[in-house]
Amino acid sequence: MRLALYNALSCAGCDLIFFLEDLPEAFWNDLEIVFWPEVCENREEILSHLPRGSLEVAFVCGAIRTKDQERLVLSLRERARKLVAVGSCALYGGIPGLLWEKEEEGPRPVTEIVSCEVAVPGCPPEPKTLKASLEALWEEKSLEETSPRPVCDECPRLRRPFRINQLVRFWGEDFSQGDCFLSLGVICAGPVTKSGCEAACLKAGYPCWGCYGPLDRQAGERLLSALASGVLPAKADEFLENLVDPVGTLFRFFLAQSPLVRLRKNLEDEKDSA
Amino acid sequence: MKKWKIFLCECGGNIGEVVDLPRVTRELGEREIEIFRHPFLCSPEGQAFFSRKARGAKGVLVGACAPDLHGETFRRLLREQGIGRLQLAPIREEAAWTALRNPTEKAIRLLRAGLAALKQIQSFPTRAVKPRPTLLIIGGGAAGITAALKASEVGLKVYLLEREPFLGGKALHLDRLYPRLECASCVFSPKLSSLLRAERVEILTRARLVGISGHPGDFEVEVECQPRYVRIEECHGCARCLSACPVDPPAINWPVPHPVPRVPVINPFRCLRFKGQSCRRCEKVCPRGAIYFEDTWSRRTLRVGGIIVATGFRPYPVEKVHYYGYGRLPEVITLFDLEKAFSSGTMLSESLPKPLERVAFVHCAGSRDRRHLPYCSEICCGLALKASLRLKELFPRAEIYHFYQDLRLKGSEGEGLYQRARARDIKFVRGRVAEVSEVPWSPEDEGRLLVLAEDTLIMRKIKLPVDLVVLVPGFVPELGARELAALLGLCPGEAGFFEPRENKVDPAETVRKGIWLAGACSGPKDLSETVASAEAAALEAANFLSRSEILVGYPQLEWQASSCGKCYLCVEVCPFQALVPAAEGLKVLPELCQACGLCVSACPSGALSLEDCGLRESQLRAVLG
Amino acid sequence: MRPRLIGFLCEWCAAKALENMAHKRLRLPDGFMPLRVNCSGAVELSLITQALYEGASGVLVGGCPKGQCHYREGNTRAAIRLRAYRRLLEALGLPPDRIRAVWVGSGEGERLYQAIWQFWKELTGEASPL
Repeated sequence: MRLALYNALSCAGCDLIFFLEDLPEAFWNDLEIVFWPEVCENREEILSHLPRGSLEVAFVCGAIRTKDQERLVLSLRERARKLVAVGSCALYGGIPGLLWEKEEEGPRPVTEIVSCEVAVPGCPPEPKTLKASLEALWEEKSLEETSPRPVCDECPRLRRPFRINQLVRFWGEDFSQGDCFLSLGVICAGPVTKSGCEAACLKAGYPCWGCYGPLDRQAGERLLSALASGVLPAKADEFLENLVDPVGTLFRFFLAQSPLVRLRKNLEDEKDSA
Repeated sequence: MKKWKIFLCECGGNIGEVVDLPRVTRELGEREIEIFRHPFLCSPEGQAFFSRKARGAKGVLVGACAPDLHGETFRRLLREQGIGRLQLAPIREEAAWTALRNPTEKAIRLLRAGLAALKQIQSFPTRAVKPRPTLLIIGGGAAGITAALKASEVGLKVYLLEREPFLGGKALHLDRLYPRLECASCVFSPKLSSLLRAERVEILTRARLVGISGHPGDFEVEVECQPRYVRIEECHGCARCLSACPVDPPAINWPVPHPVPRVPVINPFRCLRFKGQSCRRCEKVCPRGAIYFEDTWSRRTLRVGGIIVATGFRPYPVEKVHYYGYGRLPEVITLFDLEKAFSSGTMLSESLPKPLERVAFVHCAGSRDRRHLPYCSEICCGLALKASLRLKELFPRAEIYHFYQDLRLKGSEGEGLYQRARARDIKFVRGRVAEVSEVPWSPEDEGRLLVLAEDTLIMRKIKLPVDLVVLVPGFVPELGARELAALLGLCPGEAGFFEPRENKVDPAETVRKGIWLAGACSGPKDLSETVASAEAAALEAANFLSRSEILVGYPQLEWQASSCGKCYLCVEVCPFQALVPAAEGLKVLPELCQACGLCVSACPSGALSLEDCGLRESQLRAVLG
Repeated sequence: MRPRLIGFLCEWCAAKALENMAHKRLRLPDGFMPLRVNCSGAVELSLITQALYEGASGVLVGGCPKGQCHYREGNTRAAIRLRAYRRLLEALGLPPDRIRAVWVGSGEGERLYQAIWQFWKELTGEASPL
């Protein structure tokens, strides 16, 4: 098994998941790590000596920000028979994607640059998710493409009709059990996020941050729309005041993919032409 | 192969002369599309043309006028052909009449958007339901009574719901009627008594609506009744109990001039028995054993086909206009206090320390005032004039002043009323009263009230000592109107009055099918207008409920179980309670859904969609492309 | 025809106001494209993003005056939603003025006319012919 792993713009947190025990055995058999800068001392040049298709599998984590990163990913794509994108950064731009908030051209997800055989979501992915994806890859069966379901599907919290009295920042108080976070006024990305994590955060008493990726590219607007629909009209001013950092809260993992950030470029073009 | 068909109406020259229709035809032309043009699509000849040419179409797009004008006509014609898919593009209003430079271009884009929508809509299924020939009327005032009489005459079973112990509402306390000063009770009491004789009318007093479910044609309503402590079905109104009661005035009583039903009610806050004493005098004298101290709150479930809302209005609580001193100064009364005094025959002068020498009517007390009621209540000027004439009759020596902003006397006889008032030497001062004060201007006026105002016609300040001030407040919806609106899914306007579906042509209909408005709950009305609107509502209701079947067919709200996160925000958002949580997640009640789309925009997971009328991105692309 | 202004007009009030305006033959900029919706509260934010993304220079949402929504709270919800959306645009460094709301009654054609032209003028500099 010849393998490469490359971290582009990422925290390298996804790497650690590979060291957890319950990955498929085939993964550890005859393992030859050709390229994994964080683990072995090898350089980029190694790749250029490898023939096309000589790697069995290559993993890419992180988002792509520089030309060098892009080149490396393209070269990995060329040499690997199977390319696996791991983590929210590689899939949706992730936390580094929030650079789009202030920058004209932020980092892009790997999936926008090269095609990947398997995409493993999460920040970092749940070991179970990674295992399932790898098994599917090994057995050459495609993962069942079911229509994505929201995280709420797996969430244990109590659901009933509600109105939002006020936005509450998730801080200090004990929210470990009880009603749906949205009804408490805590912004939870559960309803707009793909499931698969088994609502790990929610079971631990935290609201969903949305790391498994949005149900669609406009999940941020949808969540905002829902919050605004739910808030009591009399509390609207307070609601808007308490909506601090709307971008980071609503688009935490997928800003790089939102049409809104592309919009800025369009508007600037329009201004130039005018 | 079936084709999409586009009909372009020239609307005489309205569209044809402004929009280059041949060019529209060329640009929209496609293999799958057939385009027709007609000078007047809404004319009988045009309709025949439309029916003939539409035959066999996959769907039809009509480029003509606003959907409200002839949309229903085209839909009906298509239904006859078995075609359910229709889209309207109002190119007359949105392009021909309003485009600044290039109406043709705009019309093409609007038609493209219409076409894009047409290709996606489905013809929604309809279900035929036989409506229940029963009617619930909420409010037993003039409107409710009239509607109940009319509806029962055409054979509907009527439940008449009244919150108070007796029917009649505000009309009961009227003395004379505007503008002819005829006796109100002579006009109104026959109606009340014919209601008692009317078949199929069941009166529920001290009752209010607490719940509703079901759909137009078959609502299930829950009614809560307060105890009366007298059995209506037993009592025959001999009134022996009234004189037997040791409390003065009696705790068992009918405190209205024409009690309907003619059954007294026990006021538990005054009755000795409810205060723990052993008095049972009324029970002992009652020959029918109708007294029933153990009566309790009760609930009833009724099934009705439709509902008429006739909750009426009430005068603005004029004590809020603090500088007029109502509630603080005993000589300041409202027009309705005066009217009650007239109708009950109590002489005003008895309660006044001085003989009635001068009376001031203060018009618009709180009306046309941003701090209180920003609107004009239309009928109060007439009521005030009428009352002042009556007052003049009773106290011929009293000087009467009207302080008004504008006199709004409507109807052909309104002006005559004004002339009569002038002839009787009633004085009119144009100007808003600034204050009613108990502090006299000069010592000889001690004990009288002082009205401070400005006569804006002669530009002079006025300080007028008077013996009685009659405030003429505007009208606000009856208490509980907002709660009822929430329960029934009606739309209260800015002032809280219920909005009809369309003010001019559908004044009795509401946005909810099977619910109609009668009387002053949709805005201030005098008795004649109230009766007219109640008859209109009764006609609408009778028409609807006597149909052999009604088509219940709403655009379908689709709920996708797999993407639903079950946060139930939509349940709260829905104004019509059409969404309910269920074991499998959510249940959509299509008969209640009005396809407003509020839930769709609130759903974070995109699990709800309105396939038939939701806006689609393709439409955006068509107008922007 | 560029630039474009999309007007999501509520069927009950704003679209009626447009008809009212049409009867008075008041002319609107060619780039103004009205799209009828059932209620201003039904306009999804994703649709507004989409409109901007597809090339609209501005989006106007027209609904019933406060308290007169035919669906009770639709316009209130829309108002809050649009304010929140403008905050989002601001946070992203996008001009929030591209989104506007107008609340008009069905008879207030002139007010809608003023609102549309005012918006259009701010977007393009072209003023109303009146």
